Amino acid sequence: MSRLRFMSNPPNPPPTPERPRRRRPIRSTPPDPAKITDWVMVGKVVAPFGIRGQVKVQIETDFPASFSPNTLLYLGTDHRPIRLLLARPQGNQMVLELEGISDRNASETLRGQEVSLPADRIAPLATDQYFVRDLIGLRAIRVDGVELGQVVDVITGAMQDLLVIHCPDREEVTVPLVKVLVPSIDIPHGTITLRPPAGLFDDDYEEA
Amino acid sequence: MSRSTKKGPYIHPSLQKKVAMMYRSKDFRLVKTWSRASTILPQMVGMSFGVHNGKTHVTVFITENMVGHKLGEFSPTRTFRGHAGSKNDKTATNR
Repeated sequence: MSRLRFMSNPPNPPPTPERPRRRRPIRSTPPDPAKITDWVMVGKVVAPFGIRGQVKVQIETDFPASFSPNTLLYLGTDHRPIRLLLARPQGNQMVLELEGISDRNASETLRGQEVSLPADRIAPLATDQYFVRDLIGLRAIRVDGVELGQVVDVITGAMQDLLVIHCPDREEVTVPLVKVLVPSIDIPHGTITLRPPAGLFDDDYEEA
Repeated sequence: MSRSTKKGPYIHPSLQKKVAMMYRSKDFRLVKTWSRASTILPQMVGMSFGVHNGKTHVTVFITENMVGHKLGEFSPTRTFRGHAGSKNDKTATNR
């Protein structure tokens, strides 16, 4: 009898499974673009992609993680906020699916628009890594204090990045961005200190 | 097909002469060269070369991991400087 009772009333009834809660995506209120002054262009819409409103974007950033889903991107010169739903790489471009853009006609209107982010949303840089936009315009000064010129361009290469320095009295000079030749970079003061080899900024070079 | 080991690495004779001279005197001044096919030798580490790319001499500072390559590999003849406005979020590293 007791055994039967035990069978009919098990001591530990199996717990009823809880209904899984539906999680809503976290959506904070977007910051007012009018209050943001410092923008960074991270890409440009090249063309629509397919018929479902996706667009192809030329990436202009070294941080592709900026294009992670559910982030806010800002389009055009008026920095219109738009939420990114999906992003996938395609060659050196990316295919993006944006909120509210669901057909080809809508995506066609975005062609040629710049994709921007507020500057404070960009990932922090590693040691000895600099934004090209910060390097351009720095005054190049030799270690003994002689002013050599101004950085007008940076050519990013596989082995060494090159600073293009415009000198007032001669043609542009390229200086490899290596610590031996560029011991210090002081962006707040707008200077870059160089230790160039003899012959780079004068005519004391050898020819072979 | 690789170059015969018997011959050794190719380097332009006048460039080799300049490198040997600078290596002895430890006076590492810029050497402007048109010889893009010359191999980078271990003695060149720390020297700077202006390697012609068809238009200008691109300065190349020789480091250890360049040894065995050719000088021309580090002086691009076609430079893609990016699309308009693309310098905004690009980075450069002081190696």
